[in-house]
Amino acid sequence: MHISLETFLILAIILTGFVGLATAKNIIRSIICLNITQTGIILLFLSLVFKPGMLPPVMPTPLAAMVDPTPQALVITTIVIGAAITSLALMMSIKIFHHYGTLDWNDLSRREG
Amino acid sequence: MFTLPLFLVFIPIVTAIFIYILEKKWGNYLVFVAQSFMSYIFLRLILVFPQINNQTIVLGDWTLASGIALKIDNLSLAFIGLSIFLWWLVLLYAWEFHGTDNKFLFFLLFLEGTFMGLLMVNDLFSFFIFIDIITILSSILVVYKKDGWSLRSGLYYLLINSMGMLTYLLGFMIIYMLTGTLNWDLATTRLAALPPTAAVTTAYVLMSASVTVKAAFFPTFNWLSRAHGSAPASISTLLSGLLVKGGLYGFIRIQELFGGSPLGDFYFYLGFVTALTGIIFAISQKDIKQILAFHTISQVGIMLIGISNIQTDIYYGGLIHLFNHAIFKSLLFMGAGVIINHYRTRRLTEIRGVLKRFPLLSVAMFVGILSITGTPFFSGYLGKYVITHELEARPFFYYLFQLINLGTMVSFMKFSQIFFPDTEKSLAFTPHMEGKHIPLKAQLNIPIFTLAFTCIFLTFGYSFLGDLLQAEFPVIHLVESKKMLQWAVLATLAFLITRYLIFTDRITPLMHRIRETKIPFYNTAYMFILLIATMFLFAL
Repeated sequence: MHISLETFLILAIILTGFVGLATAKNIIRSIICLNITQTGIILLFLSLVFKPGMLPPVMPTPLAAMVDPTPQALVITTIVIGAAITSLALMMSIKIFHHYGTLDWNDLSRREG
Repeated sequence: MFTLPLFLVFIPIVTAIFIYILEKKWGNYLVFVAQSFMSYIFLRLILVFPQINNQTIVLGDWTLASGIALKIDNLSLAFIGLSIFLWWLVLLYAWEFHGTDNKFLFFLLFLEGTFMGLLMVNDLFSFFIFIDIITILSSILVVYKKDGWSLRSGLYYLLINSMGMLTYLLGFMIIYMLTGTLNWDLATTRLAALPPTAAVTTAYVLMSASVTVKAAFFPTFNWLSRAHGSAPASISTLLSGLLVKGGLYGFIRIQELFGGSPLGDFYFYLGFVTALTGIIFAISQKDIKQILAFHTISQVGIMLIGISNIQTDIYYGGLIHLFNHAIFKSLLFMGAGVIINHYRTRRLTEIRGVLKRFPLLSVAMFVGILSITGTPFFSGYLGKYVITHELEARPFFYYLFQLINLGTMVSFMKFSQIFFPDTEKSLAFTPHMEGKHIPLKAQLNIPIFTLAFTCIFLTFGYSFLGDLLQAEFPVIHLVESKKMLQWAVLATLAFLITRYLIFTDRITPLMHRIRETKIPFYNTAYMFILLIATMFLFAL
């Protein structure tokens, strides 16, 4: 399999997201890193199935000339789920901030009990 | 097209929406109507099962390769039965506390629909969607009390599980590139035809790593104790009894997809590490729900030891234990919920005199405790019997398993102090409980006693489970002098350890230290990445 420069850049984005998840001390940062990783994965998926010269999968296009439509349908669903998770996580972090006045994972663990 | 399985997904979801819109007290009773229909459909499914076994339903007019597909096989059927049964009991139990709360019932029923979907789904992408919806719904149910602790646990649960599912997405993408299909069965056959390249191994590692989060295996177990400890009692029951098994179910399915694990004995070791970690944390806890939650982790480790090897008989040991654990852990969480509700405290040192105040409940909880410790003639014994029987060829792991059993006994002997008579110290904490005998309402008694009877029923009628799974279970001797002697020795040892080590102040500082070990989110994420790296090392 030929791996192009774009693929490398996208892998770097995914890696950035994971490194961020493993180091972020703040809840908002963790949520942002989760989104970065997800975006990276979506980009990777789309770039892997992309073939140069193919047309977008909109119906008048002849079947032979369009790219595989399945990944795009999947990606849209993934984005929707990602949005749901992000909004729920942000809502919970607002509530946590009202309760504790901090969004730092370490500060929060110290107040356990 | 055969449509019966579709109803299992849609009945709860549609009813949930009706309950939410109606906002009437009588509307809430619709949950029981929906449950009755579900039970009826399940019975119908059992009757027609020989015809529909291994038959795939594709929604819409799509091809098998790219449509949303549902399929029921023996494993799904057994899981569906267990889920409907537990949802009945949880609904009855929750009716006491949340019967007038239509939002709570909305989420609870919606969760049932999506869980049924997870059990029947036969394509890679819908599996991802169902797991994510289950994560979202159960995190909403965890934060339902809206106090600080449950909010933190809910957020932790949501973030860690969605992080886990991201690696599933990566792995699934590789499978799609390799096989060009979303269908589980097609992918299985096409993957079996492929040579074991690096790409297949990468996909395997990424997809399995994602379900280790959902099933709370070793490095990412931390969300479980938080979420199960802080949720309302009925939700803890569901989470511990069933939703963790959803992760294990996914684990079994992913092993089937790749035709067995290329990692050798990795899961076997991981199971032992998970079980030991759960035990160590459980012994040090002071909160009764936390003790039960950490025991779920240790029992998940035992199940993993079992199901890590699909080819041999030890797999059935894991599977039997999985079903039995769902029953007795639900029983213990329900009992703990009643106790906490009356005492208004969760601390082990402040609760005393449960035996005097709730004699019937205590009997039921004793059944649960005897089951989880693997006492002969109680249901936990069966799974542990098969696993120890298979482990006898490997002495080191055999004794390690006995050590895990010993740890379970010690921590449940510690847990049993809530049944002791009142002391002045405990009455000082809970003065409102003095001299009371509290009769329980029927809707609390029914689920708790049904579970206790099921515990005993499954011990003697375990062949019933074998029929449902259509599996040739290994022979289990309920009366075997060697195992009984072993149990007696372990129980004596556990009693001595509890009496002379746990109830004295000798190791209090150590316990305090373990209890105060908090693993923040970013460290769990870091360990998750390390787990993936280790799995790659094993795959080499």
